Amino acid sequence: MRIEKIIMLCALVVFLSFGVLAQSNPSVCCERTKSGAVCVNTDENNCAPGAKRTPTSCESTSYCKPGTCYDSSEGTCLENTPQLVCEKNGGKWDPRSASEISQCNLGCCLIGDQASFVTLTRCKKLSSFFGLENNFRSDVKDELSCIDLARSQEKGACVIEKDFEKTCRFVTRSECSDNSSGKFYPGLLCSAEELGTSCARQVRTRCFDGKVYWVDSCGNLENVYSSDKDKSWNGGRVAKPEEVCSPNDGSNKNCGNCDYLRGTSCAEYTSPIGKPKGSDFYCRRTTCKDSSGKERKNGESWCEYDGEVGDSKDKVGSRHFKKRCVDGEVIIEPCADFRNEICIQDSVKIEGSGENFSYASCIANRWQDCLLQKTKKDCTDNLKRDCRWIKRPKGIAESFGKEKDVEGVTEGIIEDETKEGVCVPMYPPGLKFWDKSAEKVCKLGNAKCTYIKKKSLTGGKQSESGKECLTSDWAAEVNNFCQSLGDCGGSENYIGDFSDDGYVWSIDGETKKVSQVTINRWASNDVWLSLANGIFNMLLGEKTLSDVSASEEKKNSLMDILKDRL
Amino acid sequence: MEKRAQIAIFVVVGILIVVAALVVFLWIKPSASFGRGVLSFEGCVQDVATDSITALEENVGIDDGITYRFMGQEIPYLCYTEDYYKTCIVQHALIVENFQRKLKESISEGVQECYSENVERLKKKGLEVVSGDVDFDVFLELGRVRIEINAPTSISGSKFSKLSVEFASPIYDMLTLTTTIVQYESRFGDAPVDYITNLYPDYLVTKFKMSEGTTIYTIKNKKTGDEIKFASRSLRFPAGYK
Repeated sequence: MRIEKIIMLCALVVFLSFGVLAQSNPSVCCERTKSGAVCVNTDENNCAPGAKRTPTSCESTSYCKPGTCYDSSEGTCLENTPQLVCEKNGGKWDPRSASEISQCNLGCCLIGDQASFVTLTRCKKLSSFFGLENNFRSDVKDELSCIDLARSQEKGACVIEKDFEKTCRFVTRSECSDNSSGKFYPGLLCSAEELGTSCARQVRTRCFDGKVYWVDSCGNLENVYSSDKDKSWNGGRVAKPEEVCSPNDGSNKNCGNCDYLRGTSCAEYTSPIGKPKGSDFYCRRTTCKDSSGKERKNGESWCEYDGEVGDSKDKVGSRHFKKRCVDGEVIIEPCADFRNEICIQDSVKIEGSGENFSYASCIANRWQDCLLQKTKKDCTDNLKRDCRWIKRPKGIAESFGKEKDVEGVTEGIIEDETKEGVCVPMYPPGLKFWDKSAEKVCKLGNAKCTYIKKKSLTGGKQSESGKECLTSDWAAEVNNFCQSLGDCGGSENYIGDFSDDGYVWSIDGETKKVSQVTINRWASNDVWLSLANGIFNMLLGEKTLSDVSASEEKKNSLMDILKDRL
Repeated sequence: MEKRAQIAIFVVVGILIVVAALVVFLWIKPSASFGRGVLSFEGCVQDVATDSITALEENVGIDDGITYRFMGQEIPYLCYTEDYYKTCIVQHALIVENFQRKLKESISEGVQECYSENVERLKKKGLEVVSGDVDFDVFLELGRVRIEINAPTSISGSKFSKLSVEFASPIYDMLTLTTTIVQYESRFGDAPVDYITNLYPDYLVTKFKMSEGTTIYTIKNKKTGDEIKFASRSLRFPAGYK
């Protein structure tokens, strides 16, 4: 009986002779470190001379316990602040969280037609800047409702008669009532003829809230700009922007109804040619182009990647990027390193135009407990984690993914495979593959497969099992599994450089290598090609690695045929 | 004949009175207002304050504590932790008050010099000037900086003491935005810069995440070009498996 032990070690060749600690192991709470940090859990060696230190977490100490710092002058509350930091600049420290402190309760502060979701003290401060009475609504519990409330404030002409002259301000009713001699006319512009004020209509234009507005001679806002002055003036009555002209996508210089979602905002017209009629401002189209040449509107954000992502395809060294278009400029925000964050995006349809407005965000990559999931249902629960369920390659330990943590799992190799699947990260995390910590992770992908060939002593029928273990496809499958754990195994990095230093494949002690083509084929998760590969191997009975490399071209053409047929 | 002579005399006397009054009020006793006229040193104080604000913006008015070296610049951490999976501990609270105090300290000498120079200038003009101690307060307000100066001064018998210097500056707004971001970082581990930029369209807020968990925030006023940079290290994840 011939038994060959085929071992696939998913490991990393460690070139460094020394190891680096993967992370700090904080042991004391330092009041101040040598580098100047305050109240951090760190090694005792990092503490500044003379600084207090306690061998416990800072939350448990009296001198570094975090609380809420209340600024009675600005009316702001800052959580997670140690007492010594707070009181250094005259703040008031409270051990409770901000939600438990009455001075930190947020409400809607209405200042004219603007709103701010702040504390009462802050509202008083902001109101004082504008010389207005405090208007604080504690019943409003969220910012969006606050903004809506401000927008719904009715505005009109506040006429003040003094020394036989009528002056006017275009304000809200509450602002007008602050001035006892003012009379409020809702829905009227200050330039309305019936008011008889000294304010002449449509003298110039200016930007307000992203749109272009007419302004009267007293400096009051009127309606949205249109070159059709009478239509815009609306007989001296307030008109909604869409009643003056349609939302402008930048194609009409004579309409000031700029639309953020259509990629336009108010800007000064600087060119000497083609100026809008009667206006120094217009709706400027501030679009960008992403790396594929697609036009992006101002404010849009989208994801870009270093290559294929998801399905464990993220390459070594790659990261996700969030990009956004701001005033015609593309701002790049890389997501966290080591693929600890991934970029996701979605879009909304813009009413009336049929176009989409995309928005993206870097979110945490929840890969940490993928390996612990025993069922496909738990594994693919998108609400809790970012994992995928794959077929368990032959030779992967049955103990894989069970209760032990990384440090508890050693080789854990058994020879019999199970029919179960295994849960791996959808977006494999990056590893510090230059130190020993990564080796422990990659070892989880070690596999041992046994080929047994039995010959009868009497010369009868012979049997064999585990023949697939001799093929490069088995090795490539296990390598693919390695890659799904993190930066392990042999693969291309994000710029296309291939390395096979990340695995060791041996048959009875003899080291073998899998071709890059085979590895890439498995990495692309091409089901049809994998199936064709298996059929090909079965038909031709591939025995040695040297045969594999020689027949690569033949194999490719046959696979194309099989793929078409299947 | 006599009547004509009388009228002529009255006219001449009248002219002489007017001329004398003009001479007295314009030359002999010049109006020594504390404002933009004789003493006027608002421009000097404003220049000193503006330069100081620009210098202090580089480190958000913070000259102690832990920093992060980024592109040759030492950027202060406003919120920091060395732990994984935990939000940061605030390193500097009440940023507005701190900046206000640092600004006052940094312009103190400059304000004194502005005052002294103007006193000397008046003395050279032949005015009798009695100068006093200069005291002032700095107030950072929405869209502006206000400096209230108290400098009891006597100029040829006229006494002045208070003066207010005001000029436009976005520094208060930027420091308020900074506080908002620190609030997000200390509570949630991250700040939504898109949302903040939409609420404050005059400002461009960006963040750059470094490999060991530090985030560099930049707040820039689009119109004036004023810029603040600060760092935060919050809710970081280790590389690979723990």
